[in-house]
Amino acid sequence: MSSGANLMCQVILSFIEDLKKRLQERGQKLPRKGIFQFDNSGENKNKEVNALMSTLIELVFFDEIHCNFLVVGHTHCSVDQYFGVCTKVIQRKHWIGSPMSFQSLLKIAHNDPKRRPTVNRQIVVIFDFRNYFAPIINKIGWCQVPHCFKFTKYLGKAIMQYKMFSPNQFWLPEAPDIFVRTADDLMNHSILNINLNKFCTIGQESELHQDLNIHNRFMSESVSDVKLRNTIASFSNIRPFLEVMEQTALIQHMHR
Amino acid sequence: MMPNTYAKRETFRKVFKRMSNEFRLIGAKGSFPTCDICNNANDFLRTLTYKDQSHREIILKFKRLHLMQQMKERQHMEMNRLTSRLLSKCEPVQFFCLFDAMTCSRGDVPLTGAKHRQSKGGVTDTIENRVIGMLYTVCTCAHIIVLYYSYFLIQLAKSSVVISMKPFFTTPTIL
Repeated sequence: MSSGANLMCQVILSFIEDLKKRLQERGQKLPRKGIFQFDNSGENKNKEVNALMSTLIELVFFDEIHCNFLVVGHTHCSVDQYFGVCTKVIQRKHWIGSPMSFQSLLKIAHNDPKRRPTVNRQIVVIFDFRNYFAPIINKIGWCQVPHCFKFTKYLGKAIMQYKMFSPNQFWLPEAPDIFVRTADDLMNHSILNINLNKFCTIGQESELHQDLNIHNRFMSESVSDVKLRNTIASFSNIRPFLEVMEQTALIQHMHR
Repeated sequence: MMPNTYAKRETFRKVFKRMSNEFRLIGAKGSFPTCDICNNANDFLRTLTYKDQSHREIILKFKRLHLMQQMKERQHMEMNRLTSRLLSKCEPVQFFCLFDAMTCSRGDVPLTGAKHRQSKGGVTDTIENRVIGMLYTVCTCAHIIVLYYSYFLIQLAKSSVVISMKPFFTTPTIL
């Protein structure tokens, strides 16, 4: 109960609380738009975190929230650098007697005072978000695959849209501007599965075609250049295997 | 200078090559797993079925495009971080927050009573810490690191207290 999604939701709320206090000290308000960047792990990318974001939108704490996820295994950033410093300090110690000594150790881990954390807080109580959100969560298939999610308000309800990668142009599913007039109608437009195209992990198949200088892989006979014709033939041979490889990777990613 | 009795690098290379079918690289950087697409593409390149150079080139291009997507994601992240520093009428427009968690550490819980002496295998209750760090950027506060951590008693789930969440959102004093 106290780990995974529950802990993450609690940390998000604690962070918003701390940010609000910090901005208040400077005479500023909490911005209406928030961008969260997470690791692409199950602890962060789950239904409960999505439900929390939707709740924050529906209760008008924010107008727009974006949740972006970096690709697994390629997420190292400057926080990791700080963790490296912490790990070294912990390894150097023979014995850490209590949670309090651990806390103070983390506080002074970095030699440079400017780089030390501004807030160092122990989460004592973790609410049971999983059970709280269980009755209202929509189950959406393949929800773990896309890398960008956007939460906004539409007819008084929070809606979640996704993009496979941030450079993609449109948020999916597209907002039903014309047909929907009431919040109940909106529920009819909710999706059960995320639509995944072939070669979605590289953007689109056309990008691979462009990279291989292929304009149409079915027109190999009409190509006069022998080298290009061979490339088209090779691509046609290997394409099913690439599809299987991608599918396997997506399934592995789902079970992470 | 290395003595002549030592095997040269070439010897190791040959043995490594001969045994290439008997082992599989784990595809990880330390304790961090690498992405599934890269792992599968590397496995695919290692298989003996596809020795054709043109096939290999296509797989490599596929992998390269996948890495390009990652680069674009990172660029987008940096752009978000920079945009979060902007102000509109002296108020921040948006905030950017990057979460990351540190590897858990486990330790023993001090035991009391008559059975306080236990063998290493007999220790059932341990204490685990979870450190979550984040880096946030909002208006002029750039790259601020915040740490949250909590302790859990492992295998003592029965004693943990369940708190009803309902009153939480009805009293949003924090916001």
